[in-house]
Order: sequence, then C-alpha cells, then structure tokens
Amino acid sequence: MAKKDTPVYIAGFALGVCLVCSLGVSSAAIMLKSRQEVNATVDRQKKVLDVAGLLLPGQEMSNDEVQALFDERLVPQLVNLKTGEPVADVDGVGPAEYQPMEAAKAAKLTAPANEAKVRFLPEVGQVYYLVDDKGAVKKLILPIEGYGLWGFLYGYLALEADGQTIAGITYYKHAETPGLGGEVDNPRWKGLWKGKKAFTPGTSEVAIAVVKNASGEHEVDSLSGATITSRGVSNMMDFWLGENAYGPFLAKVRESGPPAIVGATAPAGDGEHADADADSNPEPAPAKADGHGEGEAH
Amino acid sequence: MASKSKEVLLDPLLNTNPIAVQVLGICSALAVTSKLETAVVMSIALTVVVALSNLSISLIRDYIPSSIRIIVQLTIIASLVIITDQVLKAFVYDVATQLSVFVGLIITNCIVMGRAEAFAMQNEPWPSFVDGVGNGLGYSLILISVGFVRELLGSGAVFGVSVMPLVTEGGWYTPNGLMVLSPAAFFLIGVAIWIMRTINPDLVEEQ
Repeated sequence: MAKKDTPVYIAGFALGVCLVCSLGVSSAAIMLKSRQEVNATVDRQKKVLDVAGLLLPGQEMSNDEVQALFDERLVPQLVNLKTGEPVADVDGVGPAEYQPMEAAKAAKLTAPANEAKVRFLPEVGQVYYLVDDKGAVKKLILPIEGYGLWGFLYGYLALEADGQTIAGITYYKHAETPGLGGEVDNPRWKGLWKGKKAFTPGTSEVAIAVVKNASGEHEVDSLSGATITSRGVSNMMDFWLGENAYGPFLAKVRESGPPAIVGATAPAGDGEHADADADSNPEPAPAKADGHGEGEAH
Repeated sequence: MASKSKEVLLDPLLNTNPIAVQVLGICSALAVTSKLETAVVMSIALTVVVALSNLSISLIRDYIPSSIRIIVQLTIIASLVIITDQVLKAFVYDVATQLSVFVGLIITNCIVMGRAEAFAMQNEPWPSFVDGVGNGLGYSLILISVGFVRELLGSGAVFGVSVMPLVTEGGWYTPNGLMVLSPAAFFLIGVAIWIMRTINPDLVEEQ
C-alpha cells in the first residue's frame, strides 16, 4: 500500500495511463480518418444530388454510386462574387478543391453586416452546374449558410438555368430542434420551394421569403412552431441571393443565360503565379493541385 | 459463478436500473430519444463504453493509486468515448451527425463513472464486464422504450417508417408536438419509474 502512494509511483502510473490512452485514441483517429472524410464528402454530394433533383425519395445509394453520379452530372465552377464573372481558379486552385468559406475565414474577409449572421465572405464563391448528357447547363446549385435558432444551417439552393426559378433547397448540417426547426429537412416543406421565383421580375431585388400563410410566387410557408428558424432561412435567401453574394452572378445569368463552363484544368496565367508567390503562400506551387485533387474527388 | 454472473447482468435491467431506479444518465435520455434510431445507437455506444471501461479499470484496479483513481478512471472513459465517437463517424455517419455532442457527453454520464467507482474498483474483470453490459442494457431498455413512444406519438413512425400516416402527409394522425420536445422524456421516464415501483414495492423508500 505504501509503495502505491509514493509520488514517483503516482506520477509514473499517471504517465503510463496517459500513454496507453493517447495511443489508443490517436490510432483510432488516424485509422478511421480517411473513411470519415469520404463519409462527409459523400454526404454533401448526396445533398447536392438531392437538391438537383437527381435522387428519388428513399433511394439508397452506395458511396461509389453517389460519387459516380456526382462526377457525371455536376460541374463545380468558381464565380467572382463582386463582378459575377466566372473564374478558372484562385491562385491555381481549381473549382473542385477550392474551399471558399475556409479561404475567406483564413484571409479574414469579413462579410458586410447581414441578418443571416454570416461572418466571412469570400471574393470567389463556388457554384455547381447540373449538366445534361450534352453538357448543357440545366440548374445552378449555390451553397448557402446562415444562423437559425441554435446555430448555423448549411445547405444548398438550386435554381433553374434562368437564374430566377427555384428548383429546390436542402440542408446538410444544422442543429435545429427535431420536429420544429428540424423540419427544414421535411421533403414536403422542401417541395414548397419548387417553382418559386427568387427575384422581383426585371430587378435584382430578392423577393423570395419564408412567411406565414404564404401566397404567390415569391413566398414559402414558414415552419409551424419554428418562427426563428424560418426567419433564418429567409435571411439566408436575402443574403446569398443579394448583391453582396451571388446577386451579380445571377443577374448575369438572367440577362444572358448560364455562362459557359470554364475548363477546370486551364493553367493559371504567369501574372497570377507571381501573385501567389508574392503572397508567401504556405502551400507552394498550388497549380499542380488541379489534376491531383480531381483524382481525390472521384 | 454462473448464477452470480446472471444476477450481475440482469439486476440492472429492473431491480437497480440506472435510469429508473438510480436516476443517473438522465441528460442523454432526454436528448437523444426523440427518434428510435438515435436512441438505439446511443444505447449501443453507452453499453460498449460502460462494459469496456469496467473491464479495463477492473484489470488495473490493484495498481491504481487511490489518490488519483478518479482522474485515472476519467482518462480511460474519455479515451473509450472518443474512440467510440470516431467509429460511429466512420461507419454510421448519418446517425453520428444526429447524435452530435451526445456521444461525447457519455464521458460525463454518471452511469459510467458510477459503475467504475462502485463496482469495477472492487471486483474481478469478468464480473465487472458483465456488470457493465447489464447496466448498459438497463439504460438501453429505458432509452429505447422512451424513444419508441416518442417517435410513435411525435412523428407517427417507428425507425423512420411511417405507421400512423400524418395529417400533413395526407393521413389521419395529428402528431403530438410535445413528444418531440425534451420534456416529454421527463414525463415518460417518470411514468417508467412509477410502473417499476408499482411492480416492485421494495424500490419505494420507507417513510
């Protein structure tokens, strides 16, 4: 008994327990990491497919099937949010790998004050084009996020190629109350969005809103018992479709149709390379990320 | 030995049920029982954690210095919980996202610490393991019953499969909105405690 109570034994025992436990935790984390990342990616891709109308309700798909369908029908693109012009890459990082929100956060690009409580806004945003087998753009899928009742909701909004008609909405991550605000996942409620018009015709004014007793082509019924979540969804529309986010891009789409797909593998100009180097980017030669990352996405 | 094992395994189901008799682990019982699927996964996760933490603590019980025994127990439990959480995220991603923080909160679940301190520190590894499984099952029994009632009355479904078509989907059942909220679990657990005490009057404290 006495031996067990000496400081040296206690310290040694504590150290031993910590070593064994940390070994267990870290090996579990490392061994399962790739699997978890695939799960997270596939989950997001599934939501994109869902909002694009490519998934039937209740349809079960394996991870590989989801990825194959995603790669076949959806083309990631980058869009300069200020000008609304498509861009080929950001510092050599192509549309498939570029993470706009992470980039905005890292560069501390503060978003203008907004009701959706979005804190960071990138200069270049990501858009998915849904293409048919001839390569024509059928739908535009925009990532959206904003504050609800308990936290941020993350999801996608799909618009028809006219940049005006809403094709669908979905959330892949939120913490709203199941049965109340959590009903943003309800297929019936999501179905209400289809065919609604996002903008007042002829202007760039965001018209779509979530309100009680909705009527007309710009209003969606709010979720019963979830006033604040509904308002959050409405705020999200105002922000992401508005002039600070995808507004300029969608205005161009309404004027002249969806822009042609910009080749993901187009090499960056020399000037841009110099910029990337001058920024003392911690990841040297990001240009080669293109082909490599594409492989990962498959 | 065999009969003692059986007793250790079965006692926590009714006679010393961790939720209904010892009233431990209520927090997660409120949070994850609005749907049966999450309740089942949470039950399995907790059972695995209690069983393994009891086993490993019992294995080293003679070597743990008493002055740091609580923190040693906590370190082992926390490690097991993190590993469980990682496994869930890797193999049942959908459910893991719904359980969100509650798997992590198993660390602070009084059942796990309580069994480690009250049983595993004094008993051989095998009975400790069985005790862990028994208490996990006792927890599961309540969690799954509550989850079943809440999902059935709150969403008209069992395991996400509609059994009572909702009015909002063109059926006849108007869902009970209270059932999807946490207080409903309080009422249901209260009812469970009442039933258990009626069946087994020994549980009622003497006045």
